[in-house]
Amino acid sequence: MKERILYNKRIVKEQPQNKPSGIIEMGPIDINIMKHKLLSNPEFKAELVKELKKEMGLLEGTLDGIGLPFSVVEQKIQEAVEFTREQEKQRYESGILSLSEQLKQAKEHIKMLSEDLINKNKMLAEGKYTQGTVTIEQIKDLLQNMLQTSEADELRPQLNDKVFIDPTGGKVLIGSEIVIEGDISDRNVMGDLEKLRNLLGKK
Amino acid sequence: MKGTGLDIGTNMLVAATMNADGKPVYKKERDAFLKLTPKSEVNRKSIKLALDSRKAPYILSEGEFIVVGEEALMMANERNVLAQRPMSRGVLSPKEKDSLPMIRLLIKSLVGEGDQSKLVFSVPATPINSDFDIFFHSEVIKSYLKELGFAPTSINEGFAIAFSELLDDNLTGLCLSFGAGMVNVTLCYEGDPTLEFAIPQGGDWIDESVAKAVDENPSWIQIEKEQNEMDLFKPADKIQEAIAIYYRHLMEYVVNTTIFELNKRKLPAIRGAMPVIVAGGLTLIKSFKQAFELEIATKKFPFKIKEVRIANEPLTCVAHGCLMAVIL
Repeated sequence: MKERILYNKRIVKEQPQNKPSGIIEMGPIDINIMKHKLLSNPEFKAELVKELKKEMGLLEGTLDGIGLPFSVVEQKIQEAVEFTREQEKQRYESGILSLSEQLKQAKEHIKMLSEDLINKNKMLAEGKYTQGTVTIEQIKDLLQNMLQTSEADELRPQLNDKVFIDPTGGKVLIGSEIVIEGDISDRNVMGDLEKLRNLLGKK
Repeated sequence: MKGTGLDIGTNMLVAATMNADGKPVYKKERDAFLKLTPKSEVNRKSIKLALDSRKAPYILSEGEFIVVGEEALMMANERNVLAQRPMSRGVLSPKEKDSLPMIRLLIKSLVGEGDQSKLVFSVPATPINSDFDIFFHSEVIKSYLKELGFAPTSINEGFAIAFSELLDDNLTGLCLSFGAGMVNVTLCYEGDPTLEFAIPQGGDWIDESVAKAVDENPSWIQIEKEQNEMDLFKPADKIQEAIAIYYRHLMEYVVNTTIFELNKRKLPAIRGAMPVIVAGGLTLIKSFKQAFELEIATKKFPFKIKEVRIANEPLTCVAHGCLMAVIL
């Protein structure tokens, strides 16, 4: 009551002098004070909860909008949670397996490279790479030269565009076969063959 | 000795084998066919009667009579139509897929079925100024031969001529095969084919050019050219005159192109004079050798020419060279 009087006094006190008489202008309302007042009233609070539940359609333990009982909704949520968990688990396991496979391959590759390195070291130690006078720099120069003069064409990646596809689809003509007679020649094949073998043997 | 040599030409297919006496046996067939479609049952019987009476080789396929070889060409002329050919300018074409079963049939008729025995077949060199698909051609042939039970490999046509004709010349010479579809050129030096190329003009080009000039059927020109014992230096009529003119044009173009290609490449240091071997159906015409010698005499080659020689058997020497390559 005391606060109410003070409030009214403040209203009267702050009333502008140039306003027409009979009109009372309300000052700024303190929402927090108002909320506190309302919620401290048990009857109002019960009424408010009831109104809110009604707004949300949660009366009598049902979802009015959907028409499903809470227990079913709860079960559905549980199932969804379980499904998501299972999916996540599978994804995780699959990832682990993939990583494991990659790791295995990488280990094999490292093993191969290590063996290669050991062999190369062994060869170096035996002096097989240093027998000539060719240095790494010279090999680099040589490769550079080969690339520039297109001598290393076979080293470049090649796209194989030669693919043979029989356009007939293997269609075979059906019918009697044609007989073709042969003519015998007097050419000395064995003599020619002997000459040819000698010529090619010379090379 | 087992093995088969096979020359696959635009105009002629030739197979070479050896008989029990060690003699070579050549089977030839014209690479042409003609389809005859009966219009009625009576027509079917009359076509069959006509084909049987002239002993024309034919097969029946899906109700059609397919006449093959020389007879196909003759009958096409009688009917004033064009005989079909599975090959053009030396190679099979993916576009002519209807003709492809015919080449399979003709090959089978010539070589039969193999028992995984070796077979060497000729392929043209890569043509100049042309985008022919040599790969497709050789793969189709290889595929058919494998189906027939052979173990096939290919050899360049000009190199096959060297195996047949340059045995007394240390496998050194310039080999030119004048075929219907193209002219194949190979420079063979001590057994090494140092230069290979093909010129995509040949007998068909002559036939088509003459046919246009005199308004005739190209098949008729072909028969005129091949069967009338025509002499290049003594043409008997207007058609023969036209044939002689185009022959000389082709020879000139071949010689000029060969010199151009020889000059373009890095050749081995050739000592001595080289023989020039000419083979193929076009060389069968009378005075070919003399006309070609005249053409060569007026041009400058990067090496000396010893002589111009026509192959011992111009139509079978490629198949013979293939046979030599098989039994080697």
